[in-house]
Amino acid sequence: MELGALKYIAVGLGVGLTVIGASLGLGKIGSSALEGMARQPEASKDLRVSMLLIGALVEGAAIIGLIFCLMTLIL
Amino acid sequence: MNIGEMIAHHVLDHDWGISLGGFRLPITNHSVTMVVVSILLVAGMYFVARTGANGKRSLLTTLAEEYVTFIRDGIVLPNIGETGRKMLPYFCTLFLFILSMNLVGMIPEAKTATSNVSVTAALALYTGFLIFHNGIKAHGLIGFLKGFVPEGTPVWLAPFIFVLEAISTIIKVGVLAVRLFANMFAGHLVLFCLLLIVFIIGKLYLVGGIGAVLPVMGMEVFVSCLELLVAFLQAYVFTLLTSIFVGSVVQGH
Repeated sequence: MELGALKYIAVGLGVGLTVIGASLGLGKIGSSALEGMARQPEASKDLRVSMLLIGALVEGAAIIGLIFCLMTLIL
Repeated sequence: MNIGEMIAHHVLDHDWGISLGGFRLPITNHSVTMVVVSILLVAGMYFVARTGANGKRSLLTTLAEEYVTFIRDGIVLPNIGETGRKMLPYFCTLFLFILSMNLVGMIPEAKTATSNVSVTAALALYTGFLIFHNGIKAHGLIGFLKGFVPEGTPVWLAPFIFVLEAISTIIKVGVLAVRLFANMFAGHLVLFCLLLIVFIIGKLYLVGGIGAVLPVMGMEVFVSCLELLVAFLQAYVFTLLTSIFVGSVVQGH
């Protein structure tokens, strides 16, 4: 269990968990937006804009986590 | 073939090594791209403004009006209210600046200025300054500080909530910078590392390297399309969040 090997295991775990969290969040956003569009097709435009905006915010959090994982790998 | 060096050369920022009397000038890839694109933007906007100068209607004036109306009715007025009209030029400039910096990075040998944390930190620092300035202008210093703590909290709880809200504001501004930087940087890093996969496999097995070109190029096209979407989305999110932060301070609790 050398230090170099532990670093790779840590980065792999970090990236995997981050992607799981991001996918769960984005899936929930997409499903609720689609459900709202199915109930009220005339609100479809507003729902699409909100969905993209909140998707960008959640994905920002996930990418911040990924960048931290990459920093542990490189530095 | 040193992979770290190649990544550092193509994706990260490095200066051109021009010294002026013992002082290395900050002429780097990103700053040169930023200056060139800014000059092109200013010249382009001057040209657009001059085209519609004498009431002449043309496609360019209609496009510019559509754009300003989009920013005004979608981003500034709903979130900030009437006091936002004075800040409308700044928001139009901010959106166009971030969008053009993001899109120029998709051209093959051009660098993305917003994939440098200094550029995004400077933009976010100006957002912080706007929050501070508008909060003090709208409510005065005492009112601005009182605005952090909502009405009707018990007196013993107020200091904790004040500290929490102050730290939260600073972190929101910081995350604004890191979100834009991380999205742009990660996109270009993934694009470059996909190309590196071909060379790494090719060093081991030459035939494998040749065969890996087609799937990798397919992935590259897909990731490039995704990055075009992310460029527009991140510019919109940065401008929208700036207007939401300023609006929440101007309107008070």
